[in-house]
Amino acid sequence: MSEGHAATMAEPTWQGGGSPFAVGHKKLGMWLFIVSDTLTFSALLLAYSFARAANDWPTPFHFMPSIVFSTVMTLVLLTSSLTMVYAVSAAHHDARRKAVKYLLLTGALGLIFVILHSYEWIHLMRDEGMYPWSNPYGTPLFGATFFGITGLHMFHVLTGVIYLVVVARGYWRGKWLPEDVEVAGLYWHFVDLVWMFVFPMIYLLSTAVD
Amino acid sequence: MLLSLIGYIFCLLLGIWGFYITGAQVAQGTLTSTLDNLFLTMFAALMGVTCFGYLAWRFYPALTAGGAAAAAGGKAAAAHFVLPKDPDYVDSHIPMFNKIWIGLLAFTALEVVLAYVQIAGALVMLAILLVLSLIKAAMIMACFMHLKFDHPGLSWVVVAPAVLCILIMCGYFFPDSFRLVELRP
Repeated sequence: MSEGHAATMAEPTWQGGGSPFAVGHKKLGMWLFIVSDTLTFSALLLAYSFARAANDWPTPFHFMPSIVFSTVMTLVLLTSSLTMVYAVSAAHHDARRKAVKYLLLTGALGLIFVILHSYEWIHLMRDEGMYPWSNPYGTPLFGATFFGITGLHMFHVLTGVIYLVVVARGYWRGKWLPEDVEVAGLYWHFVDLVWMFVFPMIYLLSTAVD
Repeated sequence: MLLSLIGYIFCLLLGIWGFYITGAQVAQGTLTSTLDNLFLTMFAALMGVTCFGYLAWRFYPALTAGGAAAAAGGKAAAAHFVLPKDPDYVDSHIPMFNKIWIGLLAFTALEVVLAYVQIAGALVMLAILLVLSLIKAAMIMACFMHLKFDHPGLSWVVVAPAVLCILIMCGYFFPDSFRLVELRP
């Protein structure tokens, strides 16, 4: 927490002295961004549910390649959340080397997730002939919602990887504080949290019935 | 003082209204008769829980400590607003974070197994998977994003509007999608 913040604590609350919710302004700002991003993703997932309820929806994902593959992706993302917690904890102890190490490990796991996801996309397009505008299983909305939702999520992960690398560099040089690491952690956990809804709704509910 | 009192009374009335509507819907058995009823009940129940939750959070110290101790409780609550300076407040929970991670993996494994055996139809599967996902989201938000250790006001500000907006979106989307199902040849 910054020193300037502690100095203004003596001011009355209505003159900006108090800290609402006892968090720094960066953390509060990130939380408000997370709320708005939650609504973006929930609107997309609701639109997906709408399309699904109103159409004959194909369930083409076989358990062996698709579901197992996406489970591995889930595992990678969950583990990256754990290493992020370690990074935040190390930063709070001013263990700079350890914190940067875990930050970069988190970024690397995020990058592995993006690579696995891209591999899956390429497989779906090249081998299965599934595109955002057409697919061999049924309604074209299936491909549109699949690529739209997982694409937006993958964009978030990619942004998060860049964010983590930038924060790791700034923190290593002493430009940024442990609080910045913590705020980056909030964003990263949110990306993980979104996948906890995308994975069952997009993958598990599209498992092929034998 | 008067304004706060009016606020608490309003909160109490709103909470009573929420639980009254919920109770009436359940008692009359009209909970699932139409989708409008279902969403009205969800909204009313959320309102009741939010209002009474706020009142309980606000008055719990006064009710338990009583009298002079309540004033001291008020001061302690004011001291709560100071930023946490203890650097251990994240680190002392590392074993818990490991347990949460294992729990998240276990829930994911359960979901995958459920998708593999396919014990139920699509709607029941959706309900089970969504409940499991909500539990996982709550675990991530409470522990990994350490909302549990922050000021309770932050949780209310972050969670309550998001839940309310999602419920309103559900209220607009789903009746229309079910109407489309009925219209289908």
